[in-house]
Amino acid sequence: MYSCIKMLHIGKIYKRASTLQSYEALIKFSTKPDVQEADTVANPDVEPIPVGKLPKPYLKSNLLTRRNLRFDKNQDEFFQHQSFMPHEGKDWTAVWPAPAPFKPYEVPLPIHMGVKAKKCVKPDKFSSLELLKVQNFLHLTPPAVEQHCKVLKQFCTKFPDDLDSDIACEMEFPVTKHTVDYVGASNSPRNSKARNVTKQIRLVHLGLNLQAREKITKLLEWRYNDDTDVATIQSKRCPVRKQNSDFLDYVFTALYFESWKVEEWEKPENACDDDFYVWENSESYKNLRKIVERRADVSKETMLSDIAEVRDYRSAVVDVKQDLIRAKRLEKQRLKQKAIEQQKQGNVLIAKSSPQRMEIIDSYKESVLNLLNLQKVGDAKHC
Amino acid sequence: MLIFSMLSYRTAKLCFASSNVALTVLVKPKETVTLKNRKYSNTLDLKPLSTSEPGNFSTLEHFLTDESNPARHTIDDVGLMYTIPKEDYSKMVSSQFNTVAFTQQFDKQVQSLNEASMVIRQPGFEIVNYLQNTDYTAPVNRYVIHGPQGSGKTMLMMYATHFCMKENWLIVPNYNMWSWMDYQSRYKPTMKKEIMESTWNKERVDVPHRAVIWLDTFKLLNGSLLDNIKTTQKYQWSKHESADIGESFSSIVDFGKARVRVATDVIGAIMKEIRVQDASTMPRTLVTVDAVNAAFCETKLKIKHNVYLKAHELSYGHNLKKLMTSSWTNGAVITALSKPFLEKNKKGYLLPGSHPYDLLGQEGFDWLDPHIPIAVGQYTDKEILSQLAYYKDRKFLTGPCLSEAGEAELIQLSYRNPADLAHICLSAS
Repeated sequence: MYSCIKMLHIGKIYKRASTLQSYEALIKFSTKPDVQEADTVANPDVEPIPVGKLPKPYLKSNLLTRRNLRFDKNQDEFFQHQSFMPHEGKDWTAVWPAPAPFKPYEVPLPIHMGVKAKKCVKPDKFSSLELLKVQNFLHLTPPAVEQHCKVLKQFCTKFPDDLDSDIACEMEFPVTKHTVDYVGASNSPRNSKARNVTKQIRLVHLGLNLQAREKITKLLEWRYNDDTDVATIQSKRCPVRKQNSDFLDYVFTALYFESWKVEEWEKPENACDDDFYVWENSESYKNLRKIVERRADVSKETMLSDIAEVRDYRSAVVDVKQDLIRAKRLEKQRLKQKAIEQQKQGNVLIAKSSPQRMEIIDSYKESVLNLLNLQKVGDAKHC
Repeated sequence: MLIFSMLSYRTAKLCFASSNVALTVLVKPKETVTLKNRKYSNTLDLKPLSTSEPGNFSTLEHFLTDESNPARHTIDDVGLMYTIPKEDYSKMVSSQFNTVAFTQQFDKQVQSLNEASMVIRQPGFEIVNYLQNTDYTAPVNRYVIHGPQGSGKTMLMMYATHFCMKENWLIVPNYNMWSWMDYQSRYKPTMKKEIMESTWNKERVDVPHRAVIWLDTFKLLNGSLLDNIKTTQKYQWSKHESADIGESFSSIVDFGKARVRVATDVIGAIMKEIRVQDASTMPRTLVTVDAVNAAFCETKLKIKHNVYLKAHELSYGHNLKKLMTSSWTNGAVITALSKPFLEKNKKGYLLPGSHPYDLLGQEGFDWLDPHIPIAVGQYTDKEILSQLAYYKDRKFLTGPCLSEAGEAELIQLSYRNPADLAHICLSAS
């Protein structure tokens, strides 16, 4: 840096530009150079619009007032060098049109990079090897990207008018594919995480019947969201993204055709299923028959559903069973997926003894007492 | 009083002054609490059930009932204490062996006070009422007691058992189902029991040592009742030993106690007779099962490496589960749930919660359906005050506990949980 300052003594005297000013100038320069100048010329009375949209750094008033005069003087002269001044009246995209290694005299920014050695000043941008090594994106400023897009627009087709809503888009393209591209300053431009692919589809679009739908949800397990009806599958088992994507297509087709198959042991007569409850011909039904058939007014020919108490009891048992199934499913999800979002929503609370679940037990108790001809004693609730 | 009101007025003013809100209207302080209507805290809204001087322990005049028979308890007795007579208590608990009838905490209390007394609670009153009013020609009613840990599920079961003892019922006890499923006993942690193949059915497994203890408790509870009950079938225990038709229960039980190998088969025979016989020959029967959810899960017993037995593979478990169905008449089944052994059993497995049907499981619910669920909660105001008054009267509580602050602290620390309260009072005395 000291050599630089020496050199600066010889150079011409320019208007002073502090670090912040030069940065503001670059933004001004890169965004809209022509229009703003025209504005300032046309309306000299109106104050110029503040250009730097970024918030100013907060500095203590002590630091601003108390300054090292000697250093300050040198610093002033240092920043008067041409390489710190904005290229006035020039288009930045023309200055830096394509990817190129860092050029300290071209870039009007006080950048520095590298570790500060002992008893030395900070390394500046001149003759800095570190700055040369890293990739820079100075050719990809927002106006440059905009210009690119403008040129490319003539080759694009118009977005179809029919796809005006999200629903219309989803009807046309039911599968959504999600991938992530990684851009980093390293030796290799490839990132192993980029191979991950997730695909989603709503089961409505598959057109399944009830049996096939039950089966596919069981095969999907926690990958199927009950609330939104969306099946989500992720894959990272293959080394390349294309392979993963193809694999997921294969998985979805296999799932679809597998769900339509009905094995011998899957038929409702032979099924022993925890997730689906039918009260008729269950253990509870058989127990109830024993109790009810002893009554005088009931013969073997009367239908059980004709009795009002039995109907109440049936609905109470079904409530309890559904509650148990829901709790079990939630518990499975929680153990496998460990979803923190569900905790936020409060779904896990259902699995614990919440007042809603205790009400189900109370109604069950009342129906049983009616069935057994017993009168309820007092209020069972404590505290 | 004046000072108190002044102070509260000042604090109210200060509070408003600190928050930068301009006040035009002066807010009056809250009504001062009179000394007679004293309050413990805002969280526990205890109404004054008793009158006592400020700063002292509350005194209840009427906390004990003279009535020792649960059948004659009325709704006014709920919340008061009653004592189990010594001749009844000696039937439930013996110094010869550990029956594990009551809780460990209660046993300690009885030893120190030389008197077994417990609180009459609303669910206990409820169960007794149901037992009195049921139709005993119909299939048996099943009851499932549930509630938080330490809320008195076991004590409630013993209350019902006492009622049935007074009515001359036959009682089939199971005070801890889990003690059959584990090598370790509840009070003897180092003792590992022997298991063997059943002589009756080779697919099942016996726990002979435990079976002998069961026969002991069965005889202790039912006493002279067993002489009048006769078998209706011939039982061949081994090549040379058998029981003919018309042999009394007491002789079978004595035989089982003498021949340890056969003890489990004797239990099976007793349970079968209970199911088969009518009301004419068999007295009314009460089956109590504590920790009933143990009967629907894996045991810790194993024959091979890494192959654990299931509950119905034990011959005792098989017979007891048959008794828990509604296939027989003239009796009742009272069961209680328990959580702690489940946590002990499945390490690293998170329980879904303390919801009763989550503990019982699908299989358990199907087995016991339809049943009457009975909820037990923490102590109510009346119950906890009469319990504390009893402790004070028997001089179980001494020293700084006998102040207003001490009483409030006892209530707050225990969170009105009966087991916690007993534990704290034991350590405080």
